[in-house]
Amino acid sequence: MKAYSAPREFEGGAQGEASGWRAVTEAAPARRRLRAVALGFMAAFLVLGGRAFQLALEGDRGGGPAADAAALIRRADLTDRHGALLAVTAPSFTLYARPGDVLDPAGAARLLAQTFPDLPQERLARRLQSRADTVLLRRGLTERQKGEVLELGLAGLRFEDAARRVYPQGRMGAHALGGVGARQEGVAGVERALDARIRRAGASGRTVRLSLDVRAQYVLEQELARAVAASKAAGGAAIALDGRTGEVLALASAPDFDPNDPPAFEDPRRLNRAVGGVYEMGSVLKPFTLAMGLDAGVIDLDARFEPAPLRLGETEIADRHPFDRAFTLSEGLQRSSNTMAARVALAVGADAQRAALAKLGLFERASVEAPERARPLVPSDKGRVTTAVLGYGYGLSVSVAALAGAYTVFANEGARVAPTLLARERGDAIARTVVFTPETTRAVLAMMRQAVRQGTGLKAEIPGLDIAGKTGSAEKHQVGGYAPHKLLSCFAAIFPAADPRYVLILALDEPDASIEGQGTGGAVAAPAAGRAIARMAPLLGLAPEEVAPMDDRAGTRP
Amino acid sequence: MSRMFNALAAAVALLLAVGLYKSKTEADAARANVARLHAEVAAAADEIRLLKAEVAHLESPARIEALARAKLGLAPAALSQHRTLDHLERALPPPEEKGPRQ
Repeated sequence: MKAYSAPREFEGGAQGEASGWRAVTEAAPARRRLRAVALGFMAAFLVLGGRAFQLALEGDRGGGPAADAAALIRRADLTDRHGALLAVTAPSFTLYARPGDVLDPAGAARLLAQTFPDLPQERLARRLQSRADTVLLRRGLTERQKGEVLELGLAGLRFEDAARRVYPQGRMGAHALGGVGARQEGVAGVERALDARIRRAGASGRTVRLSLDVRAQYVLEQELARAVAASKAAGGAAIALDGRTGEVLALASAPDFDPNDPPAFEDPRRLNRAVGGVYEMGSVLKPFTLAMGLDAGVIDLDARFEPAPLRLGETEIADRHPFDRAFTLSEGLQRSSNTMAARVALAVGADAQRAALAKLGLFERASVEAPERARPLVPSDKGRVTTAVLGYGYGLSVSVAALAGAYTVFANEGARVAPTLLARERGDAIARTVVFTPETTRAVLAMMRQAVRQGTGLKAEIPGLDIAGKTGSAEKHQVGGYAPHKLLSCFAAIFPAADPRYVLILALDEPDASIEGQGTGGAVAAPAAGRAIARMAPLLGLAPEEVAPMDDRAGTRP
Repeated sequence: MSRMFNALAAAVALLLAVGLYKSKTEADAARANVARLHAEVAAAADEIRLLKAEVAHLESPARIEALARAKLGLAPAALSQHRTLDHLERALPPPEEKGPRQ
């Protein structure tokens, strides 16, 4: 305390001894406070200095624009099996407005409506006058559109970086590819089914290679569209696949749409009839029935069938093109005999039949990567009538894609391979489900070759190409029974028959029954399938067998 | 002696401070340059993607066929126009017998 004598002098002696002591006791806390404040300042300066030193050494590492760009979702490009681009993510911009900063909402709405004819002016004006802090005006602007908006010189608008999915092939493959939603999430087709894989690949800068071949896809879509137009059908579906690997080379559904400007979800054009629609396929299932019969040993290749209709209680099964004599298996398949298929099915029995159909994958959804794939409608009872009609393709509704999967047995000596839209890499293990024996499969395939050469599939015959196949003309089930003039007309083909590899199925939904051939599979689907195969064969490296002699041969000889 | 030493030390400290400041500035400039180049690369990559999409669109079979028909009068080759080397061999005249070389 003695050290605090100075204040006494400072305060002067006017107050005397007693007041001097009081000054000392009062000055001591003030000194302490001063010291505390000084210490506080020093600490603050030390912190600031330390931070300055740290910044000088390291620099500011705060988040910049690069961090934002990384947060942007980037989907991988989709390519066909040969690398042609099918889907690309392009940079785009989202246009927002801050209504509080817009000077003349009505005028701005008018100018924006001129730039974007798809945005109604009234709605724009309403949004620009809203009391919200920020309103979304339009997504997916291109660089050029952004420039146009900037040129309008409007206040209160702002752009945000976003991504836009572009399908450079236009309508081609629309149903298989599907599409993405506003946040770049897959909503349909491969985009949805493989969403996680596409995002993963996109994050690491890879592409996703699909099994499709743009050239085959183009051919199949074109021939399907032609057949639908020519037969005045309500729609159609077609699929071509490599039966050995299950890779889908082309998948078409008519009518189609432009994925760059997709119609609303409920629009009928969005229906993927190849995987999303199930139909009773009719006679295209007969080859399987015959194979079941041969494998079960209930028939052999020399079997003969009587031409009489088959009576099962109140149900009578008759043939569309009846024979007037006993006929062989091959003849029965050529004329697509229902009675023969029904008799074989009954001999095979309900349990063996169901087991084989299940192994053919016809009791489950097709395996292709599409969220739209529909469940088959499987018969619930095992009665004799059900078993008999199942023998020629009634009572079981499956998708065209599932049927194509079943037909791969003919390309694999009796084993089924599940169809896929992803390109297989060399050395990938391919799961095979053995359904029939190789001998049986070859025998049935030979009969299917005859069905094209001189049977109902005659119009699919392409000279030089060894096409095996089977027609189907199933009456569609409606309220009150089957409609004889509403058909699902189908052709299922395997080619080349000598070295079976490719499967092609083409189906037309309700072709006009008043045209020649009454819109049956042999009249409308078979010729379209034949044309598609003829155009596809060179793309697949199949050279036609020499059938017609080269016309110029004589001319070149001296 | 100690004064001279102090002066020298102060000079060295000053020199170091200036050097540090200079290299810091240069490093900052380099970093900014790298960031700019990264942005340029990203922009170029985006442009490449767009151009590739454009190429895919231009090479689309539908477009090529329409153009080939309209401008060149060409159509896709029919199946009968395809021949393999086997065919060629069978179609060519048999090699003619020639006399021995002279």
